Amino acid sequence: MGKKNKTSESYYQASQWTLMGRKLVKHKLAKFSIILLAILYCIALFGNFLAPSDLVAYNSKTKNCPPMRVRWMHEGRFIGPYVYGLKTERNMETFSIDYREDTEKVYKVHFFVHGTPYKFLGFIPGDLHLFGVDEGGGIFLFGTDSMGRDLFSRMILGSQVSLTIPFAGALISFVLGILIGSLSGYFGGVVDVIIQRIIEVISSFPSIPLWMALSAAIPSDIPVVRMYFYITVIISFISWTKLARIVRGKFVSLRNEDFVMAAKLAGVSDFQIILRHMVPGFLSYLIVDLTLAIPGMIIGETSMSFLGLGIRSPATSWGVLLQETQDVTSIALYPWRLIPLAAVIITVLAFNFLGDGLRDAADPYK
Amino acid sequence: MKKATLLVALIALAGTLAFANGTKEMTPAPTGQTVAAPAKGEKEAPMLAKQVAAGTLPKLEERLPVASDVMVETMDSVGTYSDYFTYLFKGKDDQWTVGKMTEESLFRFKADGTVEPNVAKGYEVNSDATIYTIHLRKGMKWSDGVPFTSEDCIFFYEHMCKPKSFGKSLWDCWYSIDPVTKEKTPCTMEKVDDYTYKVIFKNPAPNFLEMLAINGKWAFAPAHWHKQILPEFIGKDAADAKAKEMGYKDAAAMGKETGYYYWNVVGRPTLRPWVAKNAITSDLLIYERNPYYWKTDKDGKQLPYFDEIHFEKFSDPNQLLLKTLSGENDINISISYTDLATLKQNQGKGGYSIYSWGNTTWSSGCASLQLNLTTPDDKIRALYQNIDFRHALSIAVDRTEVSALVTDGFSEPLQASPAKGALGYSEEWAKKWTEYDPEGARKLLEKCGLVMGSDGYYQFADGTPFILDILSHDNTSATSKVAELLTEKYYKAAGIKATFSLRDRSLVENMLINNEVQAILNPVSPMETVSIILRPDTLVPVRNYSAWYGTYGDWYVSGGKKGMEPTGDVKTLLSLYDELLATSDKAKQVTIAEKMLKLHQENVWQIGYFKDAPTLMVVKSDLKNFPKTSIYCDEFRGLGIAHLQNLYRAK
Amino acid sequence: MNMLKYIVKRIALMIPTVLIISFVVFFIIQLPPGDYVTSYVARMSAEGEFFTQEMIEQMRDEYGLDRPWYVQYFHWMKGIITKGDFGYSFTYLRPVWSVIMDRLGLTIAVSLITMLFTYLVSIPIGIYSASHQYSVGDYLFTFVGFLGMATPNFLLAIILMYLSYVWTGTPYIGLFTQEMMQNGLHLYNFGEFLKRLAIPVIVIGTAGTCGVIRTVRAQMLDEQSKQYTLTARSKGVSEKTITYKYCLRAAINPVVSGLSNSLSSIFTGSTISAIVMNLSIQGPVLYESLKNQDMYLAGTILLVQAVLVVIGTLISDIALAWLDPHIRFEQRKAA
Repeated sequence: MGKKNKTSESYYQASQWTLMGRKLVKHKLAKFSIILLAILYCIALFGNFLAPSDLVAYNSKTKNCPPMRVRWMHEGRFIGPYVYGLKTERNMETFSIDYREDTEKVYKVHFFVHGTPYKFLGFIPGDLHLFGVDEGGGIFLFGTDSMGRDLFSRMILGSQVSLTIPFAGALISFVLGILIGSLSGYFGGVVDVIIQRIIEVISSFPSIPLWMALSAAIPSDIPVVRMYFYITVIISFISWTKLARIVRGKFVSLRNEDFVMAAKLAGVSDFQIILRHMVPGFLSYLIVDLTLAIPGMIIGETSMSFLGLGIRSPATSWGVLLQETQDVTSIALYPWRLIPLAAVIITVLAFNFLGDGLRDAADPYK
Repeated sequence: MKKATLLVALIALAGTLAFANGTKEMTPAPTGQTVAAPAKGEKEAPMLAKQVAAGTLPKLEERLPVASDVMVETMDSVGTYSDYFTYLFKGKDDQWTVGKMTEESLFRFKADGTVEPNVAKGYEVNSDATIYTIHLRKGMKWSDGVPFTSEDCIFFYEHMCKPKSFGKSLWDCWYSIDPVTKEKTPCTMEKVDDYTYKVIFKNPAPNFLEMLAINGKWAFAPAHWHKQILPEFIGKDAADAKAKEMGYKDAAAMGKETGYYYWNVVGRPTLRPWVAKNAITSDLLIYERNPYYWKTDKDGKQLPYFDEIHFEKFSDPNQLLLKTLSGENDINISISYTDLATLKQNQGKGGYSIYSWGNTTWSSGCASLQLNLTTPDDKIRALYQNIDFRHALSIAVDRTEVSALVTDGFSEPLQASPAKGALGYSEEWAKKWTEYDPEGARKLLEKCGLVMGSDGYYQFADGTPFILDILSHDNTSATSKVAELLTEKYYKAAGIKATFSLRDRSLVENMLINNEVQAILNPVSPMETVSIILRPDTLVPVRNYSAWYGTYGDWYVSGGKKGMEPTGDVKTLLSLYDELLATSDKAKQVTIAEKMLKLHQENVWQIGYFKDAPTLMVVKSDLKNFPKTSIYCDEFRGLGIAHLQNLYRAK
Repeated sequence: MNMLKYIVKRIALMIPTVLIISFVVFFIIQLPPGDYVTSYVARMSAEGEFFTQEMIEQMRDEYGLDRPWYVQYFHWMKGIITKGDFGYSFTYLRPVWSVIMDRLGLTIAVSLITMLFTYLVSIPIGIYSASHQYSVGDYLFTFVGFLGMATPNFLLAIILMYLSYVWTGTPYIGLFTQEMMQNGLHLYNFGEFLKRLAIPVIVIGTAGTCGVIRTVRAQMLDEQSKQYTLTARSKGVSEKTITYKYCLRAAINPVVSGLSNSLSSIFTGSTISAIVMNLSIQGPVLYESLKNQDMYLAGTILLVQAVLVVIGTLISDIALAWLDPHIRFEQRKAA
């Protein structure tokens, strides 16, 4: 009896956000997505530590090698995890290079090894890696690419770009969209008309020539990743229009509500009214939009790589990895190189389900 | 609701049917039917025989030149008439590919580099090579049946070439050069009779025929057709009106398209084996046989065997590969070695054969680095002109590894040099500076006066940083991979800070013209030539063309008024070239050419990291008479030397 | 009456908007360094043609490209307004409008068919998802529906093209076989056409399913909890009828207003997917013209797109005003 009272008490006294949180976890897929995304971002954060190799480990002797098997038993004895070496042979019929396990060479897998140096978070030097193998061998969990580099490492290091920069871009669009949309919707009149027209002009910007022009205009001696960030920032300055229109629509509806009039009469400044009284009303909706904008930017990054703009090797992102498999030979002979596609799909789906869950949770009618 | 959906669906379907039929560049319906085996003794294609029987086409004997003047092609096996073969192309951007493979010039190259008569039947030349008498073929006709005579050759020269009616200036082959004053004088032409004319030079022109073979597609034009549209004959206003009628912007555009890119113009008579049936911007470009084609096989059957060529437009290289694998594409010359395994694995299914031709590039484009010897910055220019610097860049790289990574090891890791069998080749040159010696590279860099900076990179002695700025327009993965390996691995390890930027080709061309290029990978015009005597443009600064000699070319062309004056070995190179131009003795020309090539060997003005592997050709196995081996280069007009009029499909 | 005034006012505003858009768009087109001539020279030099500086200047003069871009823009606009002449395409050597008209039919057909596919797939999933929230079916179907958006189109396209080669020996590239291009589309080869339509429709259509599913589901959920649904239910109307008659009608609304916003994309069709799959629709034409800086062709296509965007916005604003009494009330007050 008491317990029931307690729960209903907490239910009625819970804030908007707690309510949302509770409803969110009811949506199983959304719950799963939150956990998944948290894991992905952690992997990205500790990427340099988790990846056994780096982005410039070119090696012609290991190119296009299929994923390796980690074994445990060698000749009947348990010796801990290890991989075999690689024997390469050119098949004279097909001219392709066949890889065979060289059972003579055993490379044991060690944990917490010192490997290629890196800078954690960009400035803390370190060289500790989660795992690695004996000198002379290589461990390729997802196989290698056409230059002999470990795909597993490139994927993890690539996620650092693919997960963060689109997020930053979406965030910038988000802030701009709310700001401009609310100005337009709240003040109405001439301000509204002008901003609406500006929105129309901007939304008809052709994206491809803009990308092309930006790529050509940015000087070549800055690091590729920074260039990509600049391009993303510039593009996000253009992609806020959709959100702005929606925000403005909501503002137009709410503008004449009684509570706004009451606040005005009470002498609250316009800015305060917007920020503290109106926006929170549909903030949940906006957050949903943010989570749903991110996958769009991730896919947009892959499109830019396809067109040859944006990031270029050795800097890596998932878009770069996908663009490198955009040919018949890779798909036919080296299908493991499509694994990053799974990563993109999973991430995009996770963001989508999270967004859906948030929206359902924010729905006040249920 | 359901009704609405159904309605929309029906509208969409109907719309598809109606619109998809397309008012767009209509691809003409096929004319040839499935070709039955010709009856014994039949000497012309069935589709033409039908027209003769119907009375719409003159008999074969009347269409061919007189029996003694018909040209007989040599080929592996006598063929049978076939309907069409498919070639995938990029559309208008490939207009030259289409043009070169169907070209017929006055004289043409053989695979060994010598010249033979083609449109011309033969020639005589006087002892000092100033008067060439060219004999044409009696009874030869244009593709519309009008006779082809020496009038057409002289008309072209006087009324189209000299007045620049199509926007280009006279080609080098029409000039002779005074050995003393170096003055260039255009030739004059004189008609002897309908099938003979003389080309008269002021000074000796010993290479006239070879140079004509390179540019010989423009040595004649259908006078009767052009007289109807040239402003000179009908007046400017009428010409503009005619242009609008034909769909061009104005008379100048019309002049260019009909005079220069004439093979694209439907209805413009040519001497080629096939003529265009529709616009080059179509999704399916069709070339159909020329009923007045003047060549036969040794049995007297009129060529070409194929009724049509179908040029199918593609937009992505993967489509080209897929259609080759499935056997839908008959000839593919853009295969890269990284796709070889895929090709081999599907060979049985697709029914194609893989041939390899030689080529004339000195090193594989994606692995060729040129440093601009005239780059504006003084310090950098001094560095690039320093032979030790180039030496350092060459030995800093492990060629075997790079070739293995980029071409699966199919390309030989040798220096940029003439191919085996070509003039100037030596094993010594091929192996020059090819050892992998990063330490040696560093020593050489220091010899150049560079000092190691605190950031681990070499800089100039006065402390200014040095960055090797490498440019390229080529966005294929091969070039990107080489660039990555050079900048991220090898140059870095040698202490050189290098950056790579990929720019649109038109921008790169612009930069070349304005001398803004410092170093270029996969140069727009890499070193290559069938003969330095005939086509020196990539090896000698004769005009603003190649990246490595930059504005030296401008200097030469302007007679010293613009550009930078060459010094050292480049200066010697140019004076040898002048000597070459003034020599009429062919043997002496070769000696001078060898001296020029020796200068190249000395200086290694283009650093090559591996050579081009043989050019792969993937050809359907049922396509006969395709040369299994030859040389692929521009002078031989690409596929032109395959003599596609000899091709036929075996049953 | 007020609605009419509103519409007239908006149409009047459209004209300066479109002018500004076309001006900015023209600026962006010529923003990348170089112009049509440099691009052309570059491509033809690759094939062995040679140009002197003189020839290049002459070409530039011919094409009017030696004038500053705003002068070119002015002449172009003048041509459009006074003569309806949209300029000349340097690539196709034909008036721009004829190049556009060539592809228009096919582009619209493909766009409409893929749109149809999108709706046919998304609407049922959206309805199911709304009525069976949180069920396994909901998760499963939405997963499938979102899969299309999560996969980059160009990769999906090439994978499907490759699979079509592996499974049938003939890769399905492009919508037409050579035979169709020569003889046109008839009943006997319509089957082949449908086969080849499959991959483009799947690739392009699945990209949009995500958005539509989400919209339909959201609307349905809204409608389902409204009063009239409860009333109908209590009156004994079957669940099925409620879903189809009442809720669906409401769910169509956002779909239709979404349509008006996609007017401009119907006109262009997709670009990257079309390049990979060799569809000769407007998208690749636009992309090529931008790469080559074929100004008037690119400018005209983008101008039409801009006009369609503006018209689409107008239609959706009208729809919004119609549906939302607040705004209508606002109009009355403002008047």
